[in-house]
Amino acid sequence: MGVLRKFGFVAANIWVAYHIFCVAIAPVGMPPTSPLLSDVSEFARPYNEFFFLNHGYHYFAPDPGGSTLIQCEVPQQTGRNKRLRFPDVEISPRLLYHRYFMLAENVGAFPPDMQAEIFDAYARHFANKMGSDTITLKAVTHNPSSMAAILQGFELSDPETYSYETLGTWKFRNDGSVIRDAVFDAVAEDHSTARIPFEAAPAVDESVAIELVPIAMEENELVQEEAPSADVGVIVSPEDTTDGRSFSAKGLDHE
Amino acid sequence: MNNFIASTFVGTWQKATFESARLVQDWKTFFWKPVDGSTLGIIRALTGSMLLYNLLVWSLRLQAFFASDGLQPLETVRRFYEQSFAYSFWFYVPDQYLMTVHWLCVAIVAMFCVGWQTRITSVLAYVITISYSQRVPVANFGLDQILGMLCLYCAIGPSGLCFSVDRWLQEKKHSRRKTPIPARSSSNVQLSLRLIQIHMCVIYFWAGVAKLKGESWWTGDAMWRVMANQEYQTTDLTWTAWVPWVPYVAAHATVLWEIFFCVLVWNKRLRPLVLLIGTGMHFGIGMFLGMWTFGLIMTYAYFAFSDPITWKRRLAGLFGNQPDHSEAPSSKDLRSRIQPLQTPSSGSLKRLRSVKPIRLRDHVLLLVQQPEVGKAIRAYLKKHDIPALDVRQTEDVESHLKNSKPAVVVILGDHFPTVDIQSLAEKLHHTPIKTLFALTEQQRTELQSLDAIERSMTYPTTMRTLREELTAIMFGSEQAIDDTAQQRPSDDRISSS
Repeated sequence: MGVLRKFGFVAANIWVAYHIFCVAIAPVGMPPTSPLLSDVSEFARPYNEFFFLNHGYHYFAPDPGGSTLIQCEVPQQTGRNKRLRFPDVEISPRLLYHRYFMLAENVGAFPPDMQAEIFDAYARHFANKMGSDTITLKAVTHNPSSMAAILQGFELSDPETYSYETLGTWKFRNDGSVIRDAVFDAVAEDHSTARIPFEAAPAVDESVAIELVPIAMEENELVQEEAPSADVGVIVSPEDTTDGRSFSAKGLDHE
Repeated sequence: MNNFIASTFVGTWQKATFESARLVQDWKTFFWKPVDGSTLGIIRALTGSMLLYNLLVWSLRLQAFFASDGLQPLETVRRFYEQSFAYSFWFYVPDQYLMTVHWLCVAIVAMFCVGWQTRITSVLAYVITISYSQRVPVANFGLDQILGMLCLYCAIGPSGLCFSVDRWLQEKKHSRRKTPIPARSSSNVQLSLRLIQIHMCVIYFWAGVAKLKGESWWTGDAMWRVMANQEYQTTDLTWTAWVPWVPYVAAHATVLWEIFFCVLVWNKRLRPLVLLIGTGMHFGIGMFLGMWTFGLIMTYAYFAFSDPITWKRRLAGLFGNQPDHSEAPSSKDLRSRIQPLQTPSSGSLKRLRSVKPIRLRDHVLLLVQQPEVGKAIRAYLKKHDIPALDVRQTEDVESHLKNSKPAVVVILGDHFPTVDIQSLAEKLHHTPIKTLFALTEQQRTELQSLDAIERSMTYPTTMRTLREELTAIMFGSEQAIDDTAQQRPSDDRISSS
């Protein structure tokens, strides 16, 4: 028993040393890194992945940049596009706001093929939320204004601080599957780029007026958009509502 | 020549053996010395409450994020983890059971938070934390990383030892049966706290080093960019454009503080300041960037750096209770309250293991001629919470006694003439100060008839023997050695040769 106890104690100490090594080496393996450090961190990778310790801890590093937001736009028969953007400051509690923020902010860090699938998911989810079978997603980069700009009287929310990149336009069938036309297929299969550019975007007319849709609304409230209630803050005139096309696709979202 | 080489070799070997033995002892003390479970209990309760809040917030959009065709499609996420050892039980939960499983998790985490069945619920809470995080990898941020870390260490150590329903039930049971209440201290508590401390050092160090890669942290613009980020900010901080030194100082201070945290925090004098700066930084993140969850969870980990006894007293004061004297004697009434153990005729070692750690404020005065020996003894005693001072000359002892009142004076007689020892012993005999003489065999023989020497031991001796003697003098013959459970007779022989 004494021998077993002693052996256990030695084993526990070896584990402690290995654990500390793994924790300390995990950030080293995050790119950019040398092949040597990469190999060393590889030794700890299985352990760190299993115990969810594989983090770089690069908070606001190397340089804090602009924020990424995702803008969803759906066309309306009345000629007014409906727009939704996340993260939306109206989302409460703040932790939920940060979850949506990360959806927009982190997606660029994932492999391109995964990004494509995630954008598909975003498109499907928000098209359903906005009661449309067609949706255009845009990545919006909001750059922080410089000190000099603020001193000259500019504001953080000035339009020139925003830049837009169209990610694509999705059109869904009634069952929620994506209609992939020739143009879309050609682009979607090219996963070598970080994002899917889709310049055609014929479904959305940029020149028409845009209606903002707060993301903070519950999904079921959005599905019932045909009869909006004033207390959720949606200002949608009856002629702006969806035309009842059957893609409200309740099966897509289970909430 | 040969003799010189041989003696040098033997000397080096002895020194290496001594140093390695001390290193092993230091490692054991650092990681395994039993400590009070209060701070780990506090960390568990706070981490549990944050995890509970996190899950309750997930309740608001569970289907949107966790459904197989939600914002994080199940197949996509699984494929992402294909070559990885990451896992999540959510991979195996059908959509129709999402809510059921989720509320079950909420119930388990609530149990973990209040410390009910903590041994089991702490492990489950950890699995729940990483399962939620790894199911929605795109939605993760710092909060999830720190939650995972703290839950892991709460699962490793007995986090339900204090401030828990488990403890309350245990005390109730033992008081009903009139049996002794189990100790609140454990060596695994120390292990968990040490791992949290080290992990925090790693986090800050790499957070600081990663910032060095960015130009804006050198130019000082980085903090402005953070403050001017409208998606983060909850308070308008653009006024800092008129006082630019504020973001500049904040940027440089952040990098310096993060990089050097791993060094400065181990200095007991600097520790409160280091943690205060960190708390200010994280509260600032909460207040101005709206990330209260992340800011708070980082400060929760700071409790690992605090002294459990102090916190227990503070909490007792906060709730208007008297400090729990049976667990943590204060320095003021230490001597009056500590009684010799009712040691059983057998199994005394086992009994000793259950004795709680004793913190000692009164110091020990060492008379030792060789500085390196004095330093080694002081360091050893300090690790066992016995503060010590050392002086070189017999006159120094007398002058020291004029200004302070040590608990014990230890005289290491080696290198002192016997006559000086005799003179000092006679002087000390007329004072209330307790003395311990460590004398060579020859000195003991010469002074054996001297009544002034009440307690003596043979020198050279081991650190452990010296400590045992000191503990016996200060607290009674059988009174406790706090960490007997982890100690073995030490090879750390004290010798001037």
